[in-house]
Amino acid sequence: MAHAEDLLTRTRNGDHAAFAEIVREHQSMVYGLARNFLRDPALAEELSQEVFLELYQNLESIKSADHLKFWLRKVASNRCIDHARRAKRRPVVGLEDVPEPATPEGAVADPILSDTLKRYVKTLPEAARMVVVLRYQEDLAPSEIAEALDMPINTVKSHLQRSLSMLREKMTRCFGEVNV
Amino acid sequence: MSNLDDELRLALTREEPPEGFAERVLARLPREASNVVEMRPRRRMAPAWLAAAAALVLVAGGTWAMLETPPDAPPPIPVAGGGTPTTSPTPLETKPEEGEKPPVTPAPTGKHGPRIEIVRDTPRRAPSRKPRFETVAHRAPAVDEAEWRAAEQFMLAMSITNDKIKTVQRNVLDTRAVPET
Repeated sequence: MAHAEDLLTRTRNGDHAAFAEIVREHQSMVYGLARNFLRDPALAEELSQEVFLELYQNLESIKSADHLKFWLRKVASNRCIDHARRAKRRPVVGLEDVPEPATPEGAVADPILSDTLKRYVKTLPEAARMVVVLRYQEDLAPSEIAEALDMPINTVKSHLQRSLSMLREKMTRCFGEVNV
Repeated sequence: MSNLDDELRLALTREEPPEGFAERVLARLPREASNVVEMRPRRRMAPAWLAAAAALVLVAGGTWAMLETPPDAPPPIPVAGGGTPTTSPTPLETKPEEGEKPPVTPAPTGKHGPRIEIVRDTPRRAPSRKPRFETVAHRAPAVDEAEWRAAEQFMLAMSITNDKIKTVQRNVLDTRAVPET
């Protein structure tokens, strides 16, 4: 923790190497959120870079290492949701959106299951999708998700419940009576 | 905990970005940061330049007003053939000697010719009036001194304004400098 505080102080003083270390420390979290939410590697990288650039311009407002993590998670989530909402107004059909081919009966392998699940997650509404990503990627409690997304905790719980129900239904429809 | 929870945890894991991500972020830093740095002075420079411009306008306006204001009533100067001297003549003036033609100098009480009257009453406007050195002979010395004083004051004011602008620029440059660790 003291190391993180030291990195912050050095970065505030203009040390680019310290900033690079901060980026490396948090890049998997930020990029992972964008990647799991958007399902587009190039877009996820672009968006993650913008999050870190915004961090660089707002270093003065970061109070601690914990606050830095919270700030990154919040900004990344909001940027992802904003981007998805903007993109919805001018829909582009990517390869990710093409319906998956029918899966041979009984041939359910984990990678396929995982990939299908990711694709179904992408079909969730923006806010609900980010709730699911934060819950399962970052292992956050509903109260933490509520704080990160500026959302009432009951709304978070409701999003989670509905999303899981929708995903379970779709997975069952796709893979049959698989124990999901 | 259901299997769906486990599957979601496996599916939605953190992912590392492609190699060199941090370097690519850093490569964008100078450009982004320089934009920020450039924006700040502009915001700060605006009031400084406005203040300098306002000072300049005030100085110019003051000088113009000073030039436009009629000078203090010049002391009565005797003209050959009439008038009573109340003050001693200025150094530029020479006492006319016997038999010589007296020099043309304006008298305070309308005892001068119509041409001098025109010169004295014409408002001074730089583009339209005659060159200064041509009218010197037709003016009272006091007018010239006032003009010179005004010009000197104007130059002094310009010099002070210039110093102020330089000080503001120095301050802005100091604030732009990023302290090294």
